[in-house]
Formats: sequence, C-alpha cells, structure tokens
Amino acid sequence: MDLFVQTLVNGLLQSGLYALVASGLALAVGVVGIVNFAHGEYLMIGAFLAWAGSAFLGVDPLLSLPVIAVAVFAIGALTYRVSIRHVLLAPELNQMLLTFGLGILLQNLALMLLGGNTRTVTTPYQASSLQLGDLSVGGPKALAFGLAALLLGALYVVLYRTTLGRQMRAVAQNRRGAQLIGIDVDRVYLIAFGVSCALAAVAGVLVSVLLFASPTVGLVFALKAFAIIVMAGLGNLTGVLWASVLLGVSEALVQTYVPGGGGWSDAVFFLMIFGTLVLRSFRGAR
Amino acid sequence: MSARQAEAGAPVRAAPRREITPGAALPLLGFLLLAALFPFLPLGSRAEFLLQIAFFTLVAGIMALSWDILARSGQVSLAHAAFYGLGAYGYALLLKAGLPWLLAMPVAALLAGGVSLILGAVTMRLSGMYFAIATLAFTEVVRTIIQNLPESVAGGATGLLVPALLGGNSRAQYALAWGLLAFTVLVSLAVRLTRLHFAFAAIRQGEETARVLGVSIVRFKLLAFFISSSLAALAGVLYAGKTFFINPLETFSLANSIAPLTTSIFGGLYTTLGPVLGATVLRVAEELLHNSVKDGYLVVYGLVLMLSILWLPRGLMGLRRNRKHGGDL
Amino acid sequence: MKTLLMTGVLLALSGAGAVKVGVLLPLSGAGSVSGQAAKNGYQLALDEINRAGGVLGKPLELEFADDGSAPAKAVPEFVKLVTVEKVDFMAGGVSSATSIAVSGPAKQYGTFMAWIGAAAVPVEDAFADHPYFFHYHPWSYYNFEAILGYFKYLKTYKKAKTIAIAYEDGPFGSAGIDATVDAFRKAGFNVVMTEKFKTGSGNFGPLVSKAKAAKPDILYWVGYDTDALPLATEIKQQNLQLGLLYGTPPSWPVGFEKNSLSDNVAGLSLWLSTSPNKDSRTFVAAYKKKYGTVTDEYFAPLAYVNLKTLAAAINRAGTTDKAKVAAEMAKTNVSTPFGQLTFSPSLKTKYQGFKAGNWLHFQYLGDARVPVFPIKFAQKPMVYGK
Repeated sequence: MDLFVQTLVNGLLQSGLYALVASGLALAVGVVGIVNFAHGEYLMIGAFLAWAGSAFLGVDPLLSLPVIAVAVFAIGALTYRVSIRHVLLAPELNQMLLTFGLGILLQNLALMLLGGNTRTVTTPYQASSLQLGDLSVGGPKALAFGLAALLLGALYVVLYRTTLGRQMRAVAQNRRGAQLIGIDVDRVYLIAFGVSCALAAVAGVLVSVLLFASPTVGLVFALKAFAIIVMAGLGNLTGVLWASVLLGVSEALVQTYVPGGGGWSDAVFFLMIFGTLVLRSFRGAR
Repeated sequence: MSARQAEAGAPVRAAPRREITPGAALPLLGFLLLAALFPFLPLGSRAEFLLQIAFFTLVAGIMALSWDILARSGQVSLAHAAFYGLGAYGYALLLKAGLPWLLAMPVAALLAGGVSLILGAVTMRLSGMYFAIATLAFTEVVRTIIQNLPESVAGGATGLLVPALLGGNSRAQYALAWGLLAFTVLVSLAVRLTRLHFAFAAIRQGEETARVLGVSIVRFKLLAFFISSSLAALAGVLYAGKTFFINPLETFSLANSIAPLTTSIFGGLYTTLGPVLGATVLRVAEELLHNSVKDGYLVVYGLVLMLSILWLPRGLMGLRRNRKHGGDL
Repeated sequence: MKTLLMTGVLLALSGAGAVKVGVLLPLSGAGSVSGQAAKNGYQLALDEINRAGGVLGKPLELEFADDGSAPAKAVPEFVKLVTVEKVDFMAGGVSSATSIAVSGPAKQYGTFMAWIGAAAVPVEDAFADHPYFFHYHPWSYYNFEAILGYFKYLKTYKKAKTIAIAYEDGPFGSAGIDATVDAFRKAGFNVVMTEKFKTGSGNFGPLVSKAKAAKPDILYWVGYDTDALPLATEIKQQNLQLGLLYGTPPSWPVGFEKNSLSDNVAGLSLWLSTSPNKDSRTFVAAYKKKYGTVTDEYFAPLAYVNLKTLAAAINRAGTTDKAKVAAEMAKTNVSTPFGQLTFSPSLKTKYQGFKAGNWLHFQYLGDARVPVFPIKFAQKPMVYGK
C-alpha cells in the first residue's frame, strides 16, 4: 500500500516537469500556430544560464529565475523578429523546417561553446524532501509541480481575463479578422512567442536544479511536451495539466509494477498518446 | 482548420497547372545518368571516398523521395524511421533465418509495407499535427518493443550484426543503391503521371473535396502508405548491409524521420527531382562545411536550413519554377 | 623555445615521406566528449614524439577526421583517410557502432588499426579475423570482471549480500545484463532487483521506491553522466539506506564532486587524474603544461598511450611494413598511466591491450575522486554505509 501511494506521488511529481515544459509549447502552437521544434533548445538555454549563474556568480538558480525568464523572452522575441515572422503565412511544413534548422543551430552553438559535458548545479535544497511517515515528497519536484500549476493558471487568467489575452485568442482564431478590428497582430505574436520561450527557460532552470544542463537536455522533454499538448488538444491549457498527470502517473505505475518496466514506460507513454488520438479521431471529435 | 491555416496552405495549392512536356524529364534523366556514371568519373585518389559519400547520399535520396510520395497524399508522417528500421531489422532477421539476400530484401520491404497498412488504417482520420505526433508515437513504440524483446530474438538494445551487402564490394553496393533509387524514381513518376496524382492531390487539398470528386480516400491513403514505407524499408536494408550493424537507438532515431522531411522541403515538395536533388545538395553542403568550418559546421548547417526556407520557400525546385517551361515532374 | 622552434622548422622541411597516422574520432555528436579528450591526448603525444626525433627519422604526421558519432559518416571518413590521405596506420575509434561500420573497409584495405575505444562485444566479433587489429580498451566483459572482484571483497569484509541493479535501456546499459545477474548469483550474492531506466529522463522516483522495498546492500547502476545527480538526489529524498551506490558511467558530470550529494558515490574508471602511478603523474603534468588544465576523461591518456606505443613499434620495426610493425607492436611491454601494457589474445581477437586488472574503483570523498580499490592503490579507506 505504501509503495502504491509512493508510486502515485512519484508519478505526480514527474508530471509537474512535463506540464511545465508543455505549457510554453502550448502557447506557441495555440496562439502563434507555430510547431516549434526548437522549443527544447530554449529550455536548454535556460538550464545553461542557471548553471552559469550558479557556477560563476554564485547566484542560486531559483533567484536568477526571473532574470533568466526575461532574458530568454528577449531571445525568443528576437527569434520571432528575424525568422518566425517571415514564415507565418508559409505552409506548415516550411515552418517546421525553419524551427528545425533553428534547433540544430542552437544546439550545436551550445556544443561548440560549452562542449558536450554534463554540468550540474549545487543547491542546498536539491535533495530536500517532505517526509510523511514512510512517504517522501521531493522538494524541487514539488516546486516544479506547483510552478507548472501556477503558470498554467496564470496563462489561463491572462488569456481569458485581460485585453492582451483576448487579443491573443482573437488572433489565434482568425488572424485577418483580428487585423480588421485593429489588433496589432505582429505585436501579439511577438509577445506570445517570447513568453513561450520564457516558459521553456523557466522549465530549464528547474531542470538544471533537478537533473543537469547539457546541449541535448531539451530533446527528451520537448518530445514529450509535443505529445502532451497534442493529447490535450491544441490550445487546451487545462488539458495540458491533466494529460501530464495522466501520463506521469501511468509511467510511474508501469515502472513500479511491471517487471523491467523502466524499459516499457516510454512505450506506454507513447501508446497512450497514440491510442487517445486514434480513439478520438474515430469518435468523430476530430 | 482555422482560417489562418487555410490561408497558410494556399500558396502551394495555387501552383498553376501546366502541361507536362517531355523536356521536364530532362533534368531528372541527367541526374540519374550522372549518378550512374559516377563510379567511372576520373576522380583520382578521391574516387573511393566520394563513392562512399555518394552511396549514403543515394540512401538519403530514397528516404526523402519515398517520404514525399506519402506527403503528396496529405500525410505528413514522422514514422519514416520506423519503416527504415523495420526494413533493416526485417532484412537482418530474414538473413539469419537463412533466406538469400536477394529474396530477403524484397520480403523485408513488403513486410514493412504490410505494417504500414495497419498504421495507415488506424491513423486514417487524423490530420496535420495530430497525424504527425501519432506517427511519431508509433515509431517510439516500435523501437521500444524491439529493444525489449529478448536478445536472442532481435539483439535487444545491443543490436544485431548484419552480413556485408554484396561481399562488401563498394562499387556493387553503389550500383545496387543506384538501382533502388532509379526504381524509387520510377515509382514516383508513375504516381505523378497516372490518375494517382490527381487522387493524392485531391486528398491533400481537402478530404471533403476529394469525397465530392468520388475519390476513395481510404484506398488511396493506404496505397500511398504502402508504397512509401516499402521504399523506406529498402533504404533501411541498404544501410544495414553497408554498416554491418543495427541497433534500435540509431536505426529508429527521430533524426531518420526528420531528415527525409527536411530534405524534401529543401529540395521541393511534391516533385520527383526535388527530394533527390535536396539530398545531394545537402550532403555536399554538409561535406564542404565539414571540411572548411570543422568545429561547429553544424551551426552553419542549421543556418543554411533556416536561410533556405526564408529565401526559397518552395525549395530548390522553386528556382526552376520562375522560368518558363512545362509542369514539374 | 628558440631551439624548439628551430627543430620544428627543420622537421617540417624534411616532411616528405613522413609516416602518417589517421585518427578517426567522434569530434561532434553524442560521443564528442570522449572524442575531444582523445584528440587532446593524441596532440600531446605527437608533440612529445616529434620532440624526441619523430618516427623513422621524420616528424610523425597526424590526420584527424570526425566520424560525427554516426556510422554513415564514419565509413566515408575512414575511406578518405586510407585512400585519399593515404595514411600508413589508423588510430582512434570510440563508439562501437562506428567501429563495426568501418570494419568493412578496414578488411578490404587490410588497414593497420590501433584502436582505443569500442568496448562492446559485437566489435570483437566484427574484427575477430582482422590480422592488424590492436585493441587497447578492455572489452565490456573485462569491466565486469573487475566489478565482480570489488563486490566479492565487499562481501567478505563488509558483509554485502544483496545487490540491486539499475541499468539504462540502451546498448550501453543492457549489454550482457543477464550474464551479469548470473555471475552475481554464482558469486553468492542475492540479486534483489533488476530494473531498467531511460537515460537522461531524470525519472528515478519509481525505481528508488522499488529499491527501497527490496532493501539492497549495493545499488549498482549502469548509465551515463546525466543520470548521476538525479539518481543520487532521489536516493537521498526517499532516504534509501545503502551500503554503497556504485556506478559505471563512461564519464561523470562536471562539478559533481563539489555537490554534497556525490559523497560516498563509488565508481569505476580506467584512470584517475589523481592516480599515484608515476606515468600517470608525468602525463598529468605534461597535459597541464600544454593545455593549462587537468582532464578527468580517461580517453585522453588512453589516446596518448595509443600513439606513443604505435610510434615506438614503428621505430623498432624500422619500417612501415604492416606485418613487421604488428610483430613489434605485439611485443609491447611498457608502463603506462593505466599500469603495464602488453598485448595478448582476448576471447576472439588476437591483440588485446588492457584487461580486468587495469580498472580502478574510486569513491567521491570530500571534494575529489579517490581510489579505494584494489587495496594496494587505495589512497583512503572506503566508506561503506552499513
């Protein structure tokens, strides 16, 4: 019984990380309509900035988090200006190729400048945990979960309760219509894409504390984030949290209760995505 | 589909329809001829090395062109690595079972094609991003299954040794790869020049339209899947026989699904020459960069991809379209 | 400095007819950390060789090529070195898949190969019938022999009885895992858990929970540097009591030693920069002089030893004739940073260099990696948690 509850907790904690990475991507895909293959690379930038702050300046990653978020927002906005903006009207495939090239560029730039080594950050709270009897809740992962819920909540509020959010939704639904009623579409896109990158960086900071920073750190998470937002349904923010929890917990259950489950958990993760998409398509929802 | 997406898809659809003249086939024929003569060119001491590069370029060409055939029916797949891998594994296991290689090759291709029919049938109603992620998920599932089967079955995570193709003779291997590329080109032309072209294009441009036109969507989508996946499997066979070793992590890697996609877009979508030319140009560019930039050549490579899509939205084939001539093949 | 420059110029002038060694390494892609470390080792060895008069009276020439950690790139690069650059000998090689892929052209051209990496068993099969294949790195089964030796010691002296195994699901972790479990059982251990994990995922919660239920004395993990911190973190958070956490990643995270979570984590390495071995100290000093830093990647000294022994064999043979150099190379018997190097048959190949006895077991103690086993190399007593 203890093992079962601990397994649920383990799954829930892991899902926080998934949701955090997915939230930014959901914004890019939902509002800007860009399938950003380079999303994981902004996560990587965030992780490296956190590492650099900690290693060279001695600043705790969580303290530098707001600064990093702003910095990567700027990088994202710049990316939008020089590249994304010019393919908004191009076919989806062209956008994919562009962001894919961007991903190669950023990843190899990091590799060239920093080498392929894995780097870790040292913080006093890294291994902190809350003990409830035999149950253990890891501190930084719980923080990631809380942060994911908070950010998704904040995104929801922004999208549905503010003028900027209404503009974003309007642009997402009908670009030309939005333009006609006087919305500065370009500015909305710029902000949405920048925020999306900033969110990836926030996830990256957490990843640097929890795991490590390396040029390829983004890949694993970006792939899963894609699967999650698609499973949630494009543009569905609350769905991102549910999909993450569902996937995180089922992964944990497989890893704990299936012999050799660690090898199968990926299959289960993607099988669930596959199954959901296919079932939904045949039920006619899409 | 939102209004913006519809708008975004417009430029490709609006491509003017022109009559196909025999002249349109000339560049393609020229390319194949040059490729056929390549081993006999007086390249001096570099001949052997360039032949090796050319071999892998042909494999990349087969991958890209076969992916493009599927894309013509509106199915943007990220499962090409799965069929490439299934071809490689099918071939290796059939050889292990005692089949001669000449038989193992087509059987592996047909087996992969058969699996693709299942995937195609199940993902029939998905489109766009949903289809792409479903096919990506499929690839991951296939990889995990092969990786977790007992080692005695398919080598597990460690991988399988594969006997050398054609006794390791690099010229014979090249000739075989050329033959398979030529075959892929023929299949692609067959799709382009028969009523399949109109069926695929109709489905791509909107299934509603296709239905109204009386196109059997199910049948054509599955046919596209079967053709495309069998050809990708042949590329996998070439890779396995050339590198003697396959393992799940490398053969089923996402990179093998993405490369044909980027190559086709770079070369020119929905054409026969485009993907093949794209594979060649990208490989040559990579090699040149590798030799001139050394460290960080992939940074420049990424930049080249980005710039090409900003300046050449229709890929290399877009360069030709500006001139006056017949329809593209 | 001036004389050095002079000899350099003189040597460069006499460059015609110099012996050329091709070096194929993963300078980009997944294996680039090891590949770059090896490159540094080669260049250091090259400096020393040429300062000492070169090879066959001429300065030795190195020709580096990048295999991109991919078989499809390794094959053309290998062929280029052999046919275009016309190198006399080939060195390098880190990844197993690329090494197998080049076995074809290697046999076709009868290339002389002094190979440093590629420890997987299929590589041994691929080169079994190659007459000029000298393999320096121990095959993976030798690693295991060393680990078993250490664990048996822990059994006798620390009463370790139960082992939990966590291995990554790729080729690195999964190779020969069944044989591993059998060998532990045969040695009298109780293997209480055998679990896979996905490397780089950082998802060790379920695995550690499971291990906690199994109560092992030793947790033996086979994974990569990316897994070290997440695993150690999870063990601390879930308060899993272990005698020893023992891992065998090819390299460790940069700065891990400064993290208190690394305390008492044990591992395996062919070499440590802190090794008291005389050759090792010489190497570290020379490396520091050239690059200004100390490396912890064992591929750097391995490459260094590789080129030095190859150059020595060519000089002894007095010719670049492959058969004669191979005969001299087979007689190699020198002390190296890893201990004595000789070549003897392995299970399938003829010339195997380092074997089980060359491995060191270390523990993160204080802020450094300290050798703790074999006892004769131990610099501090090991810390066992139970």
